[in-house]
Amino acid sequence: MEIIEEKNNEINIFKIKGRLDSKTSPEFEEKIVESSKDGAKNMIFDFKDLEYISSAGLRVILKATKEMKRTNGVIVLCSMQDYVKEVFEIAGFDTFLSIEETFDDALKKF
Amino acid sequence: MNTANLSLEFTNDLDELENLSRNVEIFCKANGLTRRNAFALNLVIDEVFTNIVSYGFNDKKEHRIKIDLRIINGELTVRVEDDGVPFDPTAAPKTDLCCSIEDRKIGGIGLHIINQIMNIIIYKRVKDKNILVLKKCLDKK
Repeated sequence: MEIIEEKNNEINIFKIKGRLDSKTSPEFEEKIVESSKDGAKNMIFDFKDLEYISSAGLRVILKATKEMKRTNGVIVLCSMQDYVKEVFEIAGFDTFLSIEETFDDALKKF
Repeated sequence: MNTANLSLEFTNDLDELENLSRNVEIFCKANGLTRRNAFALNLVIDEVFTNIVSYGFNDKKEHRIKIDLRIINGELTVRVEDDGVPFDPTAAPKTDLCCSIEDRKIGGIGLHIINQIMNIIIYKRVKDKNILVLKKCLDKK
């Protein structure tokens, strides 16, 4: 897995490449925690190049979303591949997460 | 009768996940599974394996986890055997999907995914071993 972090105005963008599983998810979690410690309030998780996600990845996203809610921050997810999106749907995560089709749509949420 | 078999064995280490998914991927390609089925199979095996490695052992010793895959006439069977603490996933509490995000539990997501994807789940404890058998009817091409 590879994480590319970018900042666009006041939005922290995380582009995840490869697999988010029990082995790789802790690294993603660390990055999110770090940037929220630095005061990040707005985040986009760009999953265009995310090939795979397991419950370990979902757990990191759930934790981050809960934390952001507490601090009045916003997380928007975007550009998921079909199979990845299906995992979010199976887990029922699509009901409380903000999931957008494209990166541009995600940007418009802020 | 159309059959395919693959027997795999891994140690209780999350580093094995990459190797595990590679082997499952090769099995899926060789047997013409749809991309959707291949993704689902990979996910289910990952969830079962990760659960065993994360919660199955109280000692620091190395353990072996056996995974057998079989397809007979379009029916996929996954059999997982480990010598960890007894754990019956079919008796675990169900995840509440309708609660608010604040109340949504961090745990139990993996088991919920397994339950949604597989059609039949059977658990047995035999001679200090957990044996989990999962079945799914594969997509027709």
